[in-house]
Amino acid sequence: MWATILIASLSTFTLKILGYFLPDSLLSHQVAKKVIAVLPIGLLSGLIALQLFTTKDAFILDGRIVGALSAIGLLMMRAPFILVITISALVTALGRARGYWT
Amino acid sequence: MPRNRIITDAIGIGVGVASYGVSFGALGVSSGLDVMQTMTLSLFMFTGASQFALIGVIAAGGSSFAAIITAFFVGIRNFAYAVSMNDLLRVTGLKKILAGHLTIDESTAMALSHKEKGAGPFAFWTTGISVFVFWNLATLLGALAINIAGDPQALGLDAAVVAGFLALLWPQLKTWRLRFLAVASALVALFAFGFTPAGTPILIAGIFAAVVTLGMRE
Repeated sequence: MWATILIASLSTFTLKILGYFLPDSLLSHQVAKKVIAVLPIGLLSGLIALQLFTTKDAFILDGRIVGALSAIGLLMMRAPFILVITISALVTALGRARGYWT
Repeated sequence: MPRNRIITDAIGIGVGVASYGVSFGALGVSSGLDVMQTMTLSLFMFTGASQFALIGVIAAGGSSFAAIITAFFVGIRNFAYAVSMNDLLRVTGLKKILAGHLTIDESTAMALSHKEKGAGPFAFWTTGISVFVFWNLATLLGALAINIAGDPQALGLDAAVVAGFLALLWPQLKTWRLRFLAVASALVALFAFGFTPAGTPILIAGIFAAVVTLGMRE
């Protein structure tokens, strides 16, 4: 676990530092710009889908979906970050405590 | 130069980030890391989305390789920020390393929003330092609290992670094309989940998004 943490930290740190040492011409390249813009979108969408609909080895539908829907509703209303997270956790937790969902 | 105004804003952003830091601390520990390991990420990785991505892949049972690569790709935007901050800050030597470490969404956004002479660099440093302090204190608080509070599922923390990722993704979906791309990437990840090792579906979704975008004509 420590190796994973240290290597990952070093790699993201290198990304930040590299930007201070490389010529801007590299980034102004059209392909690089496009990839940097959409890569996080693809990764985050994939991450959300897996965290929402799967467990370690199976598909699942549980209270998290209710939390996610509340989050989307709040985001559409331009609610601040802290509210989105807190309400989403609260709704999921309350429903679990009352046995509405798992 | 509105120095006081910048300092107030920087502290405000720090407090906002702290709420997210508390969830990171709590989730880090509930994903199987200890307090020291969770703190190491906040101190040395210091880029929220990558940190969440890393523990997300670990919690899903993914390999170290998948976790590292996902954190790296999620953090790739910091590289773009660094290029533009280098242009603005014009620092050298050790300060360059320090500036690099503090190059994140918040410090970059604040620096770019202050166009007055000399205000950009001041906004960068104040915000970077403020977020660093608040983020780390909050992570520690969350990591220690969850040790006492217990079951993260009963607290709805698994839903909070998803909500956090949604909040990170939301502002990036500015056009319909990007919204479709996000949904398609999510479906690709779920499809890949059926037959690839844990952690890889996320990478496949990222590569899919990049390839599709490069393949499309303007």
